[in-house]
Amino acid sequence: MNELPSSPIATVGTIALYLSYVLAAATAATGIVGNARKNPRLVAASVYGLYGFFAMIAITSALLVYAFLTHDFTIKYVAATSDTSMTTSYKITAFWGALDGSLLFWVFVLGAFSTIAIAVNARRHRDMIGFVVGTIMVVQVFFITLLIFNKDPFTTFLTDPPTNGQGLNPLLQNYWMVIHPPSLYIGFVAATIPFAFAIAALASGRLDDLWLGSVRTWSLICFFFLSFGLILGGRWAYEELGWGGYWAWDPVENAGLIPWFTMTAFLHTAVIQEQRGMMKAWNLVLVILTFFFTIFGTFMTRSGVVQSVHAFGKDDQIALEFIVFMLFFLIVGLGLVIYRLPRLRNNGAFESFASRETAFLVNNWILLACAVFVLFVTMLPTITEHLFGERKTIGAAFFNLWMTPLGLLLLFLAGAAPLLAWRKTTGERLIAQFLWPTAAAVVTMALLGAGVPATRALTPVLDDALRLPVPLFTFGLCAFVFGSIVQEYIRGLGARMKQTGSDPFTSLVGLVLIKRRKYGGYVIHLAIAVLFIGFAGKTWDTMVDRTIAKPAVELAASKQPVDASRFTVRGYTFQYEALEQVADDNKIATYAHVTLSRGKEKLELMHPARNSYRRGTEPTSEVAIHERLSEDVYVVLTGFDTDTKTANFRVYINPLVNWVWIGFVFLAIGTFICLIPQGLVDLVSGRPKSALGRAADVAGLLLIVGALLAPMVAAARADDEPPLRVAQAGPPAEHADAEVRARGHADDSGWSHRYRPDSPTAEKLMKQLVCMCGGCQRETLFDCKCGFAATERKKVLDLLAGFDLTKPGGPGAAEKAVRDAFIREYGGEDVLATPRGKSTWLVPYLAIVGGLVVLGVITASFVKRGRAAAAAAAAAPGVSIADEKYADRLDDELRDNDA
Amino acid sequence: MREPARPEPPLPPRPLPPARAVGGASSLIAPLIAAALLPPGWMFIAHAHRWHLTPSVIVLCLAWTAVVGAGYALVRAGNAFLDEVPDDWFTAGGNQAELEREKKSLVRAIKEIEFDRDTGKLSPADAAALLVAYRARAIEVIKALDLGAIGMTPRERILAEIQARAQLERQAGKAKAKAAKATKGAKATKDNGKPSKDNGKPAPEAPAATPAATADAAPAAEPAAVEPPSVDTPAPTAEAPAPAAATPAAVIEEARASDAASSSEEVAS
Repeated sequence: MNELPSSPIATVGTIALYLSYVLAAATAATGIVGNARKNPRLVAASVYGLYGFFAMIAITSALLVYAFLTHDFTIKYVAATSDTSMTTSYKITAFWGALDGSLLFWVFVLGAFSTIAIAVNARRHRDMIGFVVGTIMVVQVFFITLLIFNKDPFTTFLTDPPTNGQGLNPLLQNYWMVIHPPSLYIGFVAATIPFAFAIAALASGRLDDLWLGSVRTWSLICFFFLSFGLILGGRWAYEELGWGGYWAWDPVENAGLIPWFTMTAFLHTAVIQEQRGMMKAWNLVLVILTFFFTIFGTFMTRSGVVQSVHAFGKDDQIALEFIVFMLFFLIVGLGLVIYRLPRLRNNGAFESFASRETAFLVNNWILLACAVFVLFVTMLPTITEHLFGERKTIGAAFFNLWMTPLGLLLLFLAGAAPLLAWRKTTGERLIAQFLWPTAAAVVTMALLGAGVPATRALTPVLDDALRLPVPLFTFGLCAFVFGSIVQEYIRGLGARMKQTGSDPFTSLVGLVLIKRRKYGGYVIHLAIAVLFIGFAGKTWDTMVDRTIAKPAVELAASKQPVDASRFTVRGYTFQYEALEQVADDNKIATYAHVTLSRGKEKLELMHPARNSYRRGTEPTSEVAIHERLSEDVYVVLTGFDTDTKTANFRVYINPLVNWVWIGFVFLAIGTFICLIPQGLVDLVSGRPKSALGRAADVAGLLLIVGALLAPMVAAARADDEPPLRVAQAGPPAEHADAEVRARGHADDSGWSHRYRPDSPTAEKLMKQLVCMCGGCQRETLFDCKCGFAATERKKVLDLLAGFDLTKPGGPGAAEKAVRDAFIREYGGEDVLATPRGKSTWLVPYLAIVGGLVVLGVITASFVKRGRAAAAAAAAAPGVSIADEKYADRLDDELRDNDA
Repeated sequence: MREPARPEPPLPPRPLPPARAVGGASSLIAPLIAAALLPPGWMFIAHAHRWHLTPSVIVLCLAWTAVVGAGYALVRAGNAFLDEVPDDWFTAGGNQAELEREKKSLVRAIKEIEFDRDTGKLSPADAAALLVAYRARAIEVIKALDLGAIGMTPRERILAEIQARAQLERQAGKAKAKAAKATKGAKATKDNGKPSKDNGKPAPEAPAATPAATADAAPAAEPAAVEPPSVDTPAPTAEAPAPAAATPAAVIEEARASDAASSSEEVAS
């Protein structure tokens, strides 16, 4: 009789997991009860309990990693996500490669962060640290509950464990997998720390600004890693997915973006609370919402409520548990805010519309509107499915209709807010501050509008019928932001030089170090402008499909002219040189060698490829990108025939796309400036180290997390070196229609160039209809490269052939007829990229515009009250400041405080 | 009829004990034991793998470190029930800390206003108006910090404030009289062609009343209502000599002396 498979690692790991669960629950109870009953011993015990919990989870995580490294395929999770051919770095990344491990990874990262946060802040916040520990541990209890009762990563096979695993999804076998998920998880998890402090402040009644100072660093870390994770995801999609873009408003992408909006809003209004003692309740709500959205994003990807290439799959039980958890914390958090509302009154008041406070308030509203809009539209398919039985989906085009104007408003505020003073900016000052940045914007728009016709491209905004030259406005606003930030630096530098008498360089360093939150924030604003330059380029990108029958090598060998192997796109010449196949243990890679030239200048030899995996997973593309600051040339091998050497190419010309990556670099620099520890500033300025400085030093250590990933990335990139070259036969370039449909989504069929639109009406329709192959995650017929999409495009062209598109009203009637035909065929509007229902655009319109109106009314009443309060204060008998001794002491304090 | 019990005179204030580390000042035995356990465990793991330091061995060593760490933390958690903890654990910082934070916040705000003025966001007039209010509040906070540092009771603080204000008014009155005298002397000199003793210096201006701290200042740390002076407190007279230096300590001593005097008078009566 065969022995039952056993795994000591699984046994010990499961025991460690259960012990962690018990410890988490006990620590949560100890911390909360200890703080509530003001029992310092219980609170102190809970702090050590938290440290012990992290150690237990570290044991659990280490055991799982050990199982991966030692190929313990008796554990189902290890068998499902790894195999013997994977390198060490990918085995370690397989830890977070699927749902079970990703949950454990979440618990581990939260354990690490909470250990640091508590160790740094336990003394300073000892009167509420028990509540902080309790809150964090309740979150941990939830995740460990999911692990133990739903997704135990140590579950073993009962019989016949495999001798080898299934390996990681090929799409995940690249260096981005090493850094993208961890950075996003770090961003998500970092939002828990400010949340815990906020709940503790509310529960304990310590509602002064002390908690705000302690969470500032964590909020910045959350902001940075969310940004990092989002950009990495975009870069990954750009390099690996082969659709020429970097952002598709995928639900899981949106899951990371929504908390980014609310955390950004919090970072701004936290400054208002520190400066003016206002927005206290609002800040607490934002922190709670940010945490809620991080959990909601996790819920979206792990419950199956949304369809996404990133999603882990469908699990109704997990969905229910997440819903209960989210509701619990939302009710507790907002309930505490309402309970403490009388003590959260503003100390200050809005006194003018032309003030930095008002600009921050509008900025907050727009950010919140973005978050709610993206959330609503992302969840719309699930909502409509449950309410109406029909799953309506929204394509990227609808997101862009709304996010474009909101984004431009944010861009404007990024430049305008730094120009405004606190409390109020008088008319004369407004003109002086806005003059040069506005001039920069106007001049930029005039020059670009006259000299670069592409910037005048009309883009739909809010509605398809409303088209504006969005790129031109974008560049103008970018110039406005640049002008504003440069002006701020110059004037700040001037003031500093006058104050200290130092040279410009020393003054600049001093200015940035002393006022690092302000000037680091300005660099981040600059980064946003640079990002928008990259976004603007998307409006005039180009995509073409070409098929080349024979490579130049074969044409030359048969003494035929090589011109037949060339094609031209927007001034670039592509010469298809040869087709080659190489193989390794994992896959067979087919490379096409393409020479890129511009005029007579040879730019690069490019190697777009297709990979077919031995384990039967879907083929993938390896795109070839020629990067320039002005534009990228992006080549995808969409089909090939190894017998005839025919190759199909899709070429994208992506203007300004590299500015997106450059923008992130600026964002990172700005964030690092904000995170410079006080200890470093004290060291440079020769001051004694403050307790806050010591605590903030830890922030620098946390950023070492990113540096620690670098060796893994380097190792993973080394693993991507070209393997042994062996020629083997490959799949044919094209298939019959029936076979293509039967294969579903198979974008190596070489059909991407077939049945391309021959009129603007055809192109518009193909961008409105989605591919229903079920494998491409609902790309439009225009973009999808599979054969199924090609046959659907043919259907569109055949239907349009029956209409006269030249007569007035012809295109409109044709569009309606074709759309109706597809809706009838597929039994609903699921085939449309954007639903036609009025409610779909009406709801965000009402919410956002209506909200702005309400905000305006509320701000007006705030300003009116604020002015009355200021007038009353001015009229009231004042406190005498004739006490020169105290005035002298104050002057001494001001002199010593080089802020 | 029994007389109501007289309140005991307040005890001298006790300074706040320094904050102790979480878990108290534990001995070094536990961390030493934990540190001592680590190397044998690592060596055992390495030995079991024949000293081939592969990534899996390193991971196991990290796991052993976590095991020791977990044990240490749990021992410390248990010890926390036995360790001494400060009595003021749940009054961390107290009022003084809040005042310090408010002071720092006001100093930051003042610096920000000055910076905005220097960079052109605020006109000098607007900045001056804002600075008056913020400076007034900051001075109030510094005063409150001084008074709090001496460990005064709220009643002592109120009495001290009243005494200080009365002192200020006396000084203001004297300064006004001096200024008037100087102006008269300068005028007489001008008429007679003789230089005045003050050499034509302008008379020091009487301290001007300035606008109160605006609504955005944090609520005052002291009680809002000022208790009217007790009937037993001797009222200051115009002829009463002013103390040489109006320091808080001197004012407090005077307040305590008057308190003690009034108490003994009540006892006598």
